[in-house]
Amino acid sequence: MMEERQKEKKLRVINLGIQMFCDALTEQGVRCTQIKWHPPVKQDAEIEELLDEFL
Amino acid sequence: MKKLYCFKNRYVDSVMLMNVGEQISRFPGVNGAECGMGTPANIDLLTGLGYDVPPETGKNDLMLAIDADASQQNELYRQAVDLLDHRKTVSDRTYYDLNEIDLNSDPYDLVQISLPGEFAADEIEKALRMGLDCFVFSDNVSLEDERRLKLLGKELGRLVMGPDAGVGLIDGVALAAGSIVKDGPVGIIGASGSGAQEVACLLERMGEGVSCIIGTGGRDLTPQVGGLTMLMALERLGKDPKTKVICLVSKLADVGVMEKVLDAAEKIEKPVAAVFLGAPESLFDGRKVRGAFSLEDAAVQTLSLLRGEPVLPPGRTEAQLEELAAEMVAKLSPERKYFRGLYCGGTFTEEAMILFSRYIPQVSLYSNLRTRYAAQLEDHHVSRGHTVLDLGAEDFTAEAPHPVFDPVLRLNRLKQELADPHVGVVLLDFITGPGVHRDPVMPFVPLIREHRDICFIATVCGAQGDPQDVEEARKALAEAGCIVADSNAQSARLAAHMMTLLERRG
Repeated sequence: MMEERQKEKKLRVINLGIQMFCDALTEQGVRCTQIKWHPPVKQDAEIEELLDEFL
Repeated sequence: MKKLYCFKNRYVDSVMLMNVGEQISRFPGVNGAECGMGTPANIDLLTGLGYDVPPETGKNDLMLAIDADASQQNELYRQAVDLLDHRKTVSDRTYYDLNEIDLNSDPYDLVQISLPGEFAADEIEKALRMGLDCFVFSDNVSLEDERRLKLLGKELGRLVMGPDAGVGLIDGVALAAGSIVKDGPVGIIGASGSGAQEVACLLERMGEGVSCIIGTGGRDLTPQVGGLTMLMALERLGKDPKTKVICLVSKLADVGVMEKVLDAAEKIEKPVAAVFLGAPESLFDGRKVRGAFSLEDAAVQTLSLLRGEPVLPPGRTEAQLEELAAEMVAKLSPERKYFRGLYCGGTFTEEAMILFSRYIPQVSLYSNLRTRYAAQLEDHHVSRGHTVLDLGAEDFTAEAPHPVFDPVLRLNRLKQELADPHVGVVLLDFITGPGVHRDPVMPFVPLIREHRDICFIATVCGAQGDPQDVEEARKALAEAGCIVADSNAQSARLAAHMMTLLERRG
């Protein structure tokens, strides 16, 4: 379906989230890379203001 | 000895957490093990179980709770950390963010996203700007973000499959909870995951295969989103040389958007069949697109377009279903007069209710869903009369993992239903695929075998290529005394015939 690619090539996937979905793709012979994702750290508004002043 | 280990700022997805807890619990001598993020609900649960949770624990922290002998604690902790660190990836590089990837030196075609909804939108945007299609399993992405991102995808020529897309099949590769259906000429575009999967698996059983399944997400056909993904997918499949026939699968959607999609489908120079479950037949009046009224019918109509001749669905005829219904009802004792549908596929639940309302409009139904086909249960934990439950709906999955990933929620509910002396018929759906539970059927078999005084009707929606042995699963169910229907529609029609007879019996 990926129109730009030769049909004999396998899909290459980046997985963000549930590890089991990445494992399921790897098991199908797909090149799948799991991103070691972490939630963005939320800065305290006060700290952000102080940082802005400093930087 | 109960010991709690806290990992600061450590994110692990919920399915992995569940697996770690389950695997540690299985070690000999372990009284219990839990693994979860530090949400208020999880903290309450662990405190209630007698664990000492540090007061500074927050929702970004991971908690591992182990109840075992003190001498075992270190080894179990080490085992759990190994499980949590396990990363089966082919790539030799480690990335912490999509933006770190240089596609020139490390190329990819697709990004699959199943992060919590609040974080998904930013990652979808990054992926689209990198020039990649996105498959988004995450739900709880706002409708505004969905529209904005799909418009961005359109501008960049990239597909946003989802949010809330449960099933996909691209280049023969099953995504998320999808099945590995054999290759073939049918392209499926589904706004309903289990619906698209059922059509694809039925086509396989009838001897055909699919070129792809593009999941659009359940809200694609709302007026706000306007079918952006379905329209783009239609255009792609129109040009795809492997796709000879297209099948559109959705629940009932906004009339204006359905009309727009049908208009676009008619401009494609390939035959198109469509099902919008619950839509009136008049929607297809004067249309070139072949209308279908159940998922089974969609598979049949699609195949008929492909072969240019009428096609019959697999399984029992209507007369055989009626005969079987009479035989089963005759075996039920008079007090066993209610049926309970315990579904894990959302579309299967809805399709069953639509068929019940058509076949037996006189029968009152109850459901946890807010729908025009049934009265809503006051408490979704307690069934009444004839009840149809979508156990994959948020009311249930807020309390336990989705039943396609972990059968415990449905097993417990089944035990509850079986304790009710008025329950006579139980309907179950099973879904297979590489991304779901490895043995969805077997945990239910002993319960079915033990209750020969109740009639069980089940379907197994899966493909021959799935890691679970679909035929073996059907055989195990049949041997336990369960009637295995060939499609969800047949399961519902059989139940409807039984209900008619049960109602007549009073």
